[in-house]
Amino acid sequence: MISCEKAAHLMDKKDFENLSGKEKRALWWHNLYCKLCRKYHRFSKSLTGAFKDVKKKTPTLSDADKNKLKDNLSSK
Amino acid sequence: MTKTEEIIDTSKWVDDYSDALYSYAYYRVNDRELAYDFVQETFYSALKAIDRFEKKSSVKTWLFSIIKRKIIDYWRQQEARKTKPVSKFAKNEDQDESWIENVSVKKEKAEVEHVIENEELGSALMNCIGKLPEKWKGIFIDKYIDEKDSEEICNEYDITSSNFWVIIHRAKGQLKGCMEGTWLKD
Repeated sequence: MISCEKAAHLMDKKDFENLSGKEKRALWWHNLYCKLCRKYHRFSKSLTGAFKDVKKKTPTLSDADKNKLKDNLSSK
Repeated sequence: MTKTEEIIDTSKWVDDYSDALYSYAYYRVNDRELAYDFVQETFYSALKAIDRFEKKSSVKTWLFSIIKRKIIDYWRQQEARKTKPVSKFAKNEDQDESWIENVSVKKEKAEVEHVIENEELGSALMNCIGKLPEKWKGIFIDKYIDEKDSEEICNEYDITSSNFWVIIHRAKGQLKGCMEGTWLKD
């Protein structure tokens, strides 16, 4: 069975890329027996979801803000 | 319009780059007004230094390099104001510690999934990211928000791939502690 260190690395990697079938099985098997890693896995999933949410609300400047910027810059 | 006039067409700068610069700054300082000020200051600095602009790079790259420097300076000022180290991990960044202990669960009740639907979660997350040490924060936001390639981040921060993963893991550990310890109280 893989170590907690290896399992943690796989869970971090999973934030950005798909794991191979072998990696998925190794992680599943490890987490079946490791409560601490299961909790970390849940946290990782929640974090990924929270980032998606944050990115959905990407802030932009209003037209008024942009016009103010243009005015301020043209007076420089 | 000559090439030089095109480069210093500030109205076009605002139209083309202000939104991207603003979101870049906002995710790093977590404050709309401050992010706006950073955008404005970036444009001012760019105008002031227009003679030194090397036309080898694009205006966009140049503006981003300016805002990035300004934000790093801001983070450094913020860190300098703190009397205590940001985290116990900050001192041991390059040591090889046991990984999983850093993220041990302190409060059994504080399961993150209990609050995943809370609309404040994004805000809490950004607040907690703001508390990360400067270098971790830059790397973490570059990866999770800007979705930069890991190799590009390693080159930019001059770190190895192994260090990159250690930083990501420890930053996540600190975020977990921050969100459970200070925000997820129930």
